[in-house]
Amino acid sequence: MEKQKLSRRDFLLMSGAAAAGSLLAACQPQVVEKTVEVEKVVEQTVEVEVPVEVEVEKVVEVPAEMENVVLTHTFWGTSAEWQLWVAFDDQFSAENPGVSVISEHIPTQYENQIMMRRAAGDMPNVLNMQDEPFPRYADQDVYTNLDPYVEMDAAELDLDDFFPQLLDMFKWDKTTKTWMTGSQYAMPWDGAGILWFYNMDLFDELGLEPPANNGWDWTMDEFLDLCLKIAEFDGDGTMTRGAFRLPGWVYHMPFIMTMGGLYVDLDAKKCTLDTPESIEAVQYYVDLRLKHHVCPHTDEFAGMSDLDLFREGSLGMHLTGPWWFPDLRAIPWEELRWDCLHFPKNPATGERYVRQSWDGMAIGVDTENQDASWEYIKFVLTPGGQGRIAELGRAMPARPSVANSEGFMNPDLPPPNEKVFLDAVDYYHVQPINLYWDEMWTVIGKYWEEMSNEDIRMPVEEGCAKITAGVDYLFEHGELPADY
Amino acid sequence: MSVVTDKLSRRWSLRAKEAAAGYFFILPFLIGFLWFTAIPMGVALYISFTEYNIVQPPEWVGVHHFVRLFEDTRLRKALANTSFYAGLSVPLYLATSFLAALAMNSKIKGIRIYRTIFYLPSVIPAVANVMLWLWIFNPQWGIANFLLGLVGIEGQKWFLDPNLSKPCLIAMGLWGIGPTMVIYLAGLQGVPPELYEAAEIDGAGPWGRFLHVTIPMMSSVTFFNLIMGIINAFQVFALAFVLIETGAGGTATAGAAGVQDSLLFYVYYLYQRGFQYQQMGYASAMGWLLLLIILVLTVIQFKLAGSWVYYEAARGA
Repeated sequence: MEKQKLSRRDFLLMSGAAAAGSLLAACQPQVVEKTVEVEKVVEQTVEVEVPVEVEVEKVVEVPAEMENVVLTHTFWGTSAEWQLWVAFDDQFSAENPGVSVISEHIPTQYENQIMMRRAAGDMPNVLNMQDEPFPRYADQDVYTNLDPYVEMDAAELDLDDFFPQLLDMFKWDKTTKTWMTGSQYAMPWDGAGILWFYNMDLFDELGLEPPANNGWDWTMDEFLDLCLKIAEFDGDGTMTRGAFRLPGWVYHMPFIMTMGGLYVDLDAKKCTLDTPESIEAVQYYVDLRLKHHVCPHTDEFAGMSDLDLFREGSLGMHLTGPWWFPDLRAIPWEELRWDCLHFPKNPATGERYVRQSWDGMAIGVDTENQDASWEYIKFVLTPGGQGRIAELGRAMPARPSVANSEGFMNPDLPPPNEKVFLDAVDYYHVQPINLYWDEMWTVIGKYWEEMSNEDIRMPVEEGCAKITAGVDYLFEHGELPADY
Repeated sequence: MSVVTDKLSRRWSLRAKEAAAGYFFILPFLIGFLWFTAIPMGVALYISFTEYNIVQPPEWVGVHHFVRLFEDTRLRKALANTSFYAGLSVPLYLATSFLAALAMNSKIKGIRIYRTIFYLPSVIPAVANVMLWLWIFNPQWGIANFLLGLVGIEGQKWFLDPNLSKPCLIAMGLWGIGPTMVIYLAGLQGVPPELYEAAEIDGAGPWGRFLHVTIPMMSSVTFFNLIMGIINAFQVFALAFVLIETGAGGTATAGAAGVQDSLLFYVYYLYQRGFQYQQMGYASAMGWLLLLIILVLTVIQFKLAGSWVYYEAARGA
């Protein structure tokens, strides 16, 4: 038999196959017997108690007086205040879907516009108003008597959380024609007294130290010394920098009242500017311009606004309320640093007073939807509503609890010491508001101008005597004297 | 007879028809006049006999307000200020307008542009006008005092000086001569050129032609402008109101109208009484007094007109 020879090729092929086979055999997992626990899923019905939240539609009865209501609300003020009221309206409508509020901005001649609307029978449902004209309009039946509402909602309103005298400032007694007593015709919502604003940069430049403790203890003598250091003149004797502009209208009340004077005795319905104390107080005021010349004459800085003069350092101080905050806060801090000071005390008596002024909200008399109007007023007076007002910075909210919060005393915004407005509540003084407020100021203004004008210089005794005669006549006869 | 009556009735019917057509066409004006002028005047007359504060019903007081008018010293001050203003501003206004019209009557290139420029200030709102002039008359920085300083004259207080506040107001008013100038211009362009030719032939020079042709021919226009000027001057309000309300008139306190009430004009005082003090009865009485004053002045002007106003049509030319 012939041996068959294995070719090299075949041998290599067989070898390669054997090697591959061996390799494959070696790579095979080793089968190891082991015990494996296998999870067995068993379906089983189990009864389990599971709490389930179910939305239940709660049916709330909306009072009829809050359904399909459109309220009109009038106000004055800046565009920022406009935005405030629009926000109030939107929020109130969101919380009271049946009520929509239209806030109408009256930019000028506010009281006149309201009177015209009263005459036309088109009073707004809710109207903002100031304290000064309040007695006249309350007496003329412009506002709805709020006594029933206040009594009904006294607990909700938390009447103790209003600054002293505020609620009384919007009361009027029609029988005795007396202010701060009688029925409630409006609710206060913001306001403040007037204090000193000073230019910190100017003080630094002049090397002046502001009085310690924001002026809590300083006196009118120290105040005058400071003013004399601020005032500056050129070679002709014309003022180039003043301490402050001599305030007019009601803004001179702090000087007069602190130095012992009084404009009118409302109880006796008598003008008291002719008393020795009042004359001395008015003389002090007039001397600030005419004797000490720390206040500009009428032709010095004429035509320039107080804000511009304060900002550029032409005036070192200005006497006003927190309504200056928005304008000053619009100026970058690096450009103007400013703060507030207390009004100085009478050096002899240690007393001081500043004029306070508050704004209120009232319901227009004979308007529809009075209940809804009252709800809107209450809404503004809630802590949330007052908080919004505080953030605006226009004035202090009427509630101390909110005024004491960071809403009003914002640590991130100037001034560093707005708390002075809160501390000063102790010496806030009501103005001599009465039925003849506008006419009274016509008489006072006429002679006040002549007493403080550098060219006229009417003697203070003479001016005060004429004012007293005119105002007394006004109170007695209810009209201006023919020869004032 | 029937023919005569027939003719008469046809003529009457024609007249009646023509009259009816005439009344129909003036009816809109009549309604407007009654509703916006005559009836309010009647109501104001009634209110002048009442105490009325707008919000409460009027209370009859008889002639109380009219008696008070003659006792009111502030009213006298207002009337004096207004009379001063009218007495000075009207002649100045007429003269300035006439001179401007003469200049605008030239036939030069671009004359229409010049006429527009002269008219433009009269369309500026009162507030903008006041703001501009406050800067011009600013005692410290104003152009007026700067120019005075250039010629060595001491600066003035202008609006803050009770003796100068009204002249300043008059100066402000002169800026608005545009409408009066346009009326004069129309009159100048209506003067027949043959009159000038005839005068020239007769040997009249430029001044002679102006004196004996232009002025007489313009006298009727001047008379019209004079009447309107007096009526407007006695009702001056807007400029003074803006000055007083902005405090630019120098009032340190509210209530005064300019230093020593130098800017207290009649209509402003009427506004103050009616809208600030809510004494509509007294304000209405003031309104009627003003009407009587202006009426008397107008009647006087009409009586005097015969001696100086020339109407070409009246002379049968």
